[in-house]
Amino acid sequence: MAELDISLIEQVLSGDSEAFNRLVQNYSAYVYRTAFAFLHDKSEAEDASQEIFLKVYRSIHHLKDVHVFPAWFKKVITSVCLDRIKLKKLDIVPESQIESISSSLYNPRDIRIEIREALNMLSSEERELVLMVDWQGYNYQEIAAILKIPLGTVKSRIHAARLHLKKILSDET
Amino acid sequence: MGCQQCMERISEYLDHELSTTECHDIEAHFEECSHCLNLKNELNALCEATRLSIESIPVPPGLTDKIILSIQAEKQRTSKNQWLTAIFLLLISSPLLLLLTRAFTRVFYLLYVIGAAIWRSLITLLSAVSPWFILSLGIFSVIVVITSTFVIKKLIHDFQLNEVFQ
Repeated sequence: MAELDISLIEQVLSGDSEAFNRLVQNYSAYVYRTAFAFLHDKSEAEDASQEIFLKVYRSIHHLKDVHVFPAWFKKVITSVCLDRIKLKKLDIVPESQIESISSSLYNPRDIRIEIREALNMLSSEERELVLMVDWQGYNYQEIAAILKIPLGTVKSRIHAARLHLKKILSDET
Repeated sequence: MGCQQCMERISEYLDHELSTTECHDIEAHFEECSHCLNLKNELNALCEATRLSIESIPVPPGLTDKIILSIQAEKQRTSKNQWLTAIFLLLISSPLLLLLTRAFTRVFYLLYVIGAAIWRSLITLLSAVSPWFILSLGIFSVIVVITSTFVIKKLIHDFQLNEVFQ
């Protein structure tokens, strides 16, 4: 996430609509990338980004301390993405489809694209955990609270998800 | 610490979820075991590569403008809702303003006289009929009240009160 601009958040909290537009400019890329990583669908990620900023617009005035903004914002992003996953039952793209996409568009294969495809081949639960810890920077306790699962389960599932991701990547090469 | 235990805790080590003592234990094992050390390095590289791969996701052009437009539409909608709320509240409160007028006092007195006449007629009527009829009338009234409550609850089930009073 881009560096927190406290004065910008303060301006947004004071009701400055131009400041809110600047907030959108600063964070829209991060929000879209996170949504895309979770949902693996361009239009879903765009819709999710709009929904996230609308939620922020509606509720940011309830924030009492500007310093809690990053954690709160991250939570809004995560909850919108997780809700959409639940709602749409988005899950893995068939392997054959991934191979055809990757081989037709990217040659030689870009490792970053390979990782994104491999992430998409994880189950939605595994992908959520990997993204929450590696991309969003949540700690295990926070993940357990958000997903409402025991801490021990978080530990074992994150490790299993990483091993699965590693295996997918090593099988592809 | 054995290899099995170490391998199970590598992710926790990489995510800084282990205590200082546990970190020392696992690092001591890495010095002795190249297999576990390699796995740790591989997973560490994978975490970094995952971050980089997401950071490189291309953002569609015009996304920011789309979001800003949707926010503006929201603002207009909110402003419209506030007007509607103001009109709604005015309509609700207007009968209360009537309380202050002399004409309303006369209307109220007239209603009271009519109500009292109806009530007296009802009492006279009820005293002429059998108690069983009165009982069944009472039960019927209770059923009507329950049914009406249920229907009204159903009707307002999806009504977004918070949006009206925003």
